[in-house]
Amino acid sequence: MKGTYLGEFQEIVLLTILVLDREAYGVMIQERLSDEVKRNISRGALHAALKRLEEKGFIQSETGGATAVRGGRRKKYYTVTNTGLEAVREARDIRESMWRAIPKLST
Amino acid sequence: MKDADNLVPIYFKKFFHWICHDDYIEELEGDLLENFIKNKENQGLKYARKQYRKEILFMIRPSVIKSFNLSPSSYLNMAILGSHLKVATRNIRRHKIFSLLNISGLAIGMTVSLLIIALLSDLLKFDHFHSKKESIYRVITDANYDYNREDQLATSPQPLYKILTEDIPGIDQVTQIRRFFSADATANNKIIPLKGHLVDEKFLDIFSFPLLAGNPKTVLSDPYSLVITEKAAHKLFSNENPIGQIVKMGSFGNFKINGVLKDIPKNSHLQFEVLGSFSTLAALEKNELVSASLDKWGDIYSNYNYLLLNEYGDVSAVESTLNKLTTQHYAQLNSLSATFSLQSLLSIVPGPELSNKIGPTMTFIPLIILSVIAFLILISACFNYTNLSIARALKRSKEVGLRKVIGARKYQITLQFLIESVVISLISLGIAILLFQMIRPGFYRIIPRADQFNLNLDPRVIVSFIIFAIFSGILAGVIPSLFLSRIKPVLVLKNMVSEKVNKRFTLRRVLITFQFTISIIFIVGASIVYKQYKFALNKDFGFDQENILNIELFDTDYQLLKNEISKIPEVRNISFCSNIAGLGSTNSAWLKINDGADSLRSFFIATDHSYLKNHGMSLIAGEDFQPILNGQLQHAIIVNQAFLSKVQWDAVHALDEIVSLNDELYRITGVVKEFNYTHLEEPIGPFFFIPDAQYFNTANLKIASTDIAGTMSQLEDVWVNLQPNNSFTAAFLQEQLDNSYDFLKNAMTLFSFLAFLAISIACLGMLGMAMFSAETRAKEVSIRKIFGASIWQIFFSLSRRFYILLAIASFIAIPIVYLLFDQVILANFAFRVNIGPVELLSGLVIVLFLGLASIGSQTWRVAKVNPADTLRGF
Repeated sequence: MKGTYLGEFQEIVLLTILVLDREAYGVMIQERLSDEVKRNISRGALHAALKRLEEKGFIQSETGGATAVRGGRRKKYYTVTNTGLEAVREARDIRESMWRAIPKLST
Repeated sequence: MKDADNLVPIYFKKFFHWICHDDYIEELEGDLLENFIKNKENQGLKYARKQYRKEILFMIRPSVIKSFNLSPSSYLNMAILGSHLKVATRNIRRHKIFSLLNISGLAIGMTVSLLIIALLSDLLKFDHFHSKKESIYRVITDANYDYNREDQLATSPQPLYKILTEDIPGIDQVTQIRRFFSADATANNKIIPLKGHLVDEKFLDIFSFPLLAGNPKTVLSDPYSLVITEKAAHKLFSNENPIGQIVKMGSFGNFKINGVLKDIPKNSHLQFEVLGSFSTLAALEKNELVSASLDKWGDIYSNYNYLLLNEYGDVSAVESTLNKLTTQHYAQLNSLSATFSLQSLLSIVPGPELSNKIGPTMTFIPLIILSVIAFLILISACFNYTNLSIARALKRSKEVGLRKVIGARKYQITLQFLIESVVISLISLGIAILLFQMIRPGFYRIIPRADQFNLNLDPRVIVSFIIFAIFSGILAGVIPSLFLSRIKPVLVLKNMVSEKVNKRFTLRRVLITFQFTISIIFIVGASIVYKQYKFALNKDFGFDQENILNIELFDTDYQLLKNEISKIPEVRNISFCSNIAGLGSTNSAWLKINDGADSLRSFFIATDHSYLKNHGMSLIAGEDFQPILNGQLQHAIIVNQAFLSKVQWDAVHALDEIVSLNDELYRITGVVKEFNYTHLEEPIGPFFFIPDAQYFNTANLKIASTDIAGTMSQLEDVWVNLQPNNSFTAAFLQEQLDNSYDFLKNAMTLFSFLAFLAISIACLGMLGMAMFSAETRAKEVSIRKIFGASIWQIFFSLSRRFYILLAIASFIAIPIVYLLFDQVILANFAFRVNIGPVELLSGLVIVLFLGLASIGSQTWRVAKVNPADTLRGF
């Protein structure tokens, strides 16, 4: 499964992109992510995760229009591919089945 | 929101821009900026900047940064390099006049630096031919005299030898050298003056002076043995075998030649033509042919001790043991104490200035001064290139714009222009080497002691030259290439570069002002030194200089010489003295005055009764000496006025005062009118004449002759009969005095030469700038002409900037050069000229004149053209 394995941090990033839907670009993802995990995630760390996810084919990106706020630089929007969706689902399924298997909590 | 881009920490931003992979740069920079703005609004600027810096530090990870290709191939692609070279040569050929100005300016500027490089290269190799060079040391002496004078001497006392060889560990071998073994050598019916030393047999062991004939172990063992250099042997014996020949070394006696040495290389601090065996010294001292130095701790002037440390030897250990073992010997001498230290062979040249040095040396200060001057001249030449290139940037900007549009990177453009300037400087190097060869003989003449250097173009020097040329090329090209590479293609295509070029005027003005300043400093310096030289030549020393012929006596009997010479009718008068007045050499002694209550250090010259009359000096009180009879000591001295003012006696009262010198009592019999007994650098101090024949070494002949050559040959005949051992050495006092100020003449020549170089460079630069501005302002000139401006008005409007720059340069240069000469250089002279406005303004006037000539020629060319021709293309 090497190459398609979804790390924990990558999984959260993938979920954030899904949550943000059409507004998923660098700054928004970073902000939302930091809120969720209650600590500052550096843009560099986020970039590494995004790059890996894109390489695995879980997300794809497209360039948006230029805005003055960014000194004329264009944004890059990320969307989750079907494979990506498949991967988070799979991860969730694994987790759920394991949660259910814990004896103490199931009662 | 463009402002926010300037609020972020700029170097972090630049750093990130540099390391970030090109694919992510837009996204990530944008995100960072957006975050920064948000943070700034929510938490303030300080927090935002801190956060920004932190973010960038977290960006340093493989997934973000670009791959750095560290191999030079990506920067120095051979094809691109070839293309750069081709473009460079094309550009040089297309703009022939500008290239010529640049190349000749740089060539002139580089010439002086080449001299310095060759000089330094020689100095660094000095004494390096000795195979044991690292372990050879010389014992040098720090002497402390009782009158609080200190001196550092290259010589050391002879008895040190025993201590060094027997009592101090760590020393392998010691050799002792005795000075003053120079004499007229007679052999094979020839008389040739030879310079040399007495050395012991270890000398050839320690130093690598190869013998061509003879056994190095034994050639210098026996007394009266001689080793001679190849060249000296050839002079005496032509092609005969010199081994076994007998040479009469002046009064020292007959020596047998046991060995022939290869000629001494120029880069050796030991220079000699003969070496006598040290074992001869005892016999010479016994016969009183040389002063006694064997076993004399007080004679720190006559011998050298060189030693070879062994592998366990430690310099400071040897020094401390040596000083411990020698203090007791100086406790007994109350007039002198001495301590000793070791000087490495390799730090003798270049090295500190020591008294009694064995051969020529070179101190660091002139080297530093020369290097600074060479660098100033070089910089000045580089500025020409910089100026002209920036001025012409307009013409090259299209090329740069196009290159950039096609995809050239900034560093590639920079590289291209640097290559161009390096090509120019390499061409200049070729011309500079030719110039270097031309001025090399002159350099030997004007730089004191330069004749010890080869200044040869060996491969090492050539390589240094090429490295130096590349360095100069980069120095000259760095500003224009950075400027040109920064041109934005958009501006070029919109024809907006000219505004940017004009902004560079300030830089160019600073550079031109610098050149003018340098030129003015050198011109003014040369004219001040010239004034001092003229002053020295025309100065009234207080005695007659004309028609006095000085003959060196050697050990001739002066009475006999006087009798014989007096028979020649052209010799009107003859006197004797110990030192020639005005040349800077005098004796000094401590006099006890006021019945021994006070003592006074005074200079003196020993003379006879005819000396004052012969030199036209007059007494203001008292009377002249009596003739010396049978070498008897007369207890009389004649003092000068400075002597009287020092001891506060008046002239009348001083007569018949008794002073004591070396425990002998002398009566003051006369007071001589003030005169310069030493050279002009020294003030006139206490001085006396003493009639003491044992000091005599010069005869002063007053000559009244219409046939100088005939008289000279008569004198020479007399001399040869009396003194066959030494050659006839005579010179006129006037010439001797004039020659003693040759150093001023040399300094003036040097300054004039540097001034000439600096002016040539500045003129080439001015010519280039004038050509350029005349070219670019051709239309302006034509329009002015149409509106009725006269040629003079046009000339003024084109040269106005030049006057301003020249004025600024004068304001900088004149105070600097005035202070430099008034406070530093001329301050060495007790008798000196005052620096007047003529000298100070000379530089300004010359630069003004040359500047107007070069600007004028160009303006004239433009102003003469029919305005219709220039304006038709409008």
